[in-house]
Amino acid sequence: MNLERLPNEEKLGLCRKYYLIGFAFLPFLWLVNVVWFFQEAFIKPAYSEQLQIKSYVKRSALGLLVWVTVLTTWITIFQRFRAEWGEVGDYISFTIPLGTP
Amino acid sequence: MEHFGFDDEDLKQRHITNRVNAPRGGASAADGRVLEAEEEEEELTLKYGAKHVIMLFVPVTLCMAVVVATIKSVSFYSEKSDQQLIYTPFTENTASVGRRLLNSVLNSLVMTSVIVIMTVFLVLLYKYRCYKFIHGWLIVSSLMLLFMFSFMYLGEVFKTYNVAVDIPTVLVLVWNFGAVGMICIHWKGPLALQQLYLILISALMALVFIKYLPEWSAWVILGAVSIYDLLAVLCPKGPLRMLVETAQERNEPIFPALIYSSAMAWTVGMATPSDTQRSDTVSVCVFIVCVCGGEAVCVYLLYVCVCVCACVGGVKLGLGDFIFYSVLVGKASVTADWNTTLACFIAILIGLCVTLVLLAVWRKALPALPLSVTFGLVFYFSTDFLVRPFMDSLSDHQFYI
Repeated sequence: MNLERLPNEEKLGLCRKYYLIGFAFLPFLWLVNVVWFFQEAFIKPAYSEQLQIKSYVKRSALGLLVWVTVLTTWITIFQRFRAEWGEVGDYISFTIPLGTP
Repeated sequence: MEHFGFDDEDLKQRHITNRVNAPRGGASAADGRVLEAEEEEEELTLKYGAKHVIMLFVPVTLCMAVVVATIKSVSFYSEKSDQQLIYTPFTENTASVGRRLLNSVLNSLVMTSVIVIMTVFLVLLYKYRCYKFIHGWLIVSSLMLLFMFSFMYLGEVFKTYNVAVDIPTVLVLVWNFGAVGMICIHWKGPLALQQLYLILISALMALVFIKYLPEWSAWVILGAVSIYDLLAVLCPKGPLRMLVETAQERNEPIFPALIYSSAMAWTVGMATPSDTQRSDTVSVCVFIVCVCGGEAVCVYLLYVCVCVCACVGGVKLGLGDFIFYSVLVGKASVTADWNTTLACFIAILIGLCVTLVLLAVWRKALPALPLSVTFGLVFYFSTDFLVRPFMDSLSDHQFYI
């Protein structure tokens, strides 16, 4: 789908929907929102809906950053302390590596 | 199965410019100008054609690259498994070669007849306008592909690289991949991402086929399905051709989700009525339900897509074509070395090229499987049985050519 051919209100509507749906544990959707609407929000010459699109893109980027931080922290903790957690570690593991830890 | 479209607006402009710029002259000069204009139109068709051929090479190559990379690194997909699809009921673990050959031919007959029945069923559904049913079917199938098979794939990749991953992370990854995929394919999303998802689900599907189809049956099935494709699209009573004709009669666009398009063709809802009337795409999808051993019922999806596009540029290729090309190259990389794999890859691209040239000449929906699969099979067997021993004995004798 080409953003160029959409009228501005529809662009705003799409950006907003992507932002709202991203709250369902979908940081990837926020990433797509940021990348796709980046040019619309920051590089194109100003038009009436651009301010709102800009705010949605910024909020999506913020949410994405929060998610990335949380995930990175959690993965680091898991990788470092999994062996020491014993049974609980095994319980929440999806794949358990072979060999000595 | 694709059809060519080129930008009519552009051509009209050209025609007008030709007539305006040409000096006024007698009848013979006018004829000359008409001829010139026709030649220019031919040239434009070919130019647009060449650009779109290249634009189709990239996704086909990408799909095949993903499949081959997975097979070479994740051993799960090249291991033989005892489970078989219920659509290939005859086993290949027989004592004699003749029996094995017979079983593989029977397997391919069963598989092809299942495909035919499903396609006819779908044509009937489309004819009697059960659009909701078809739509629901499509959504369930892409749900299965995007969530279940990618979950399986991710698990195997982690096991191969021996990394510990926790369940919450995996759930977040699979949920994100699947949900964004559903949004891009069935609703609205950036074109590049949609194309990427279509390539990835074709690759996933091809990997499943490579894993669960027995060796000889896979080759025979490839041949049988390309013959079926040829008949179904070109024969007057073929189901796919009837589908195409029904779609053309009705002039309505449905299921834009399951065709790979090389250009931004989807202007439904944004374009003028005349544009939307000319852009129809119909996709036929066949569900194959299988019970894999004692595990849950898996829903396999075989896309046999037919496309009729007569408008805003772009060539369209059905996902079924992607899947079978990748199955061919994937099987070549499982059982043979890199020479054969590369030879099959080049054969498929040559076949695709020739098909697209024929498309430019004939300008109607064509089956994309027969030529490519024929070349691929010929190259595979000749490279494996003729070229490889030749190269081996050349290097044995230290003779370099």
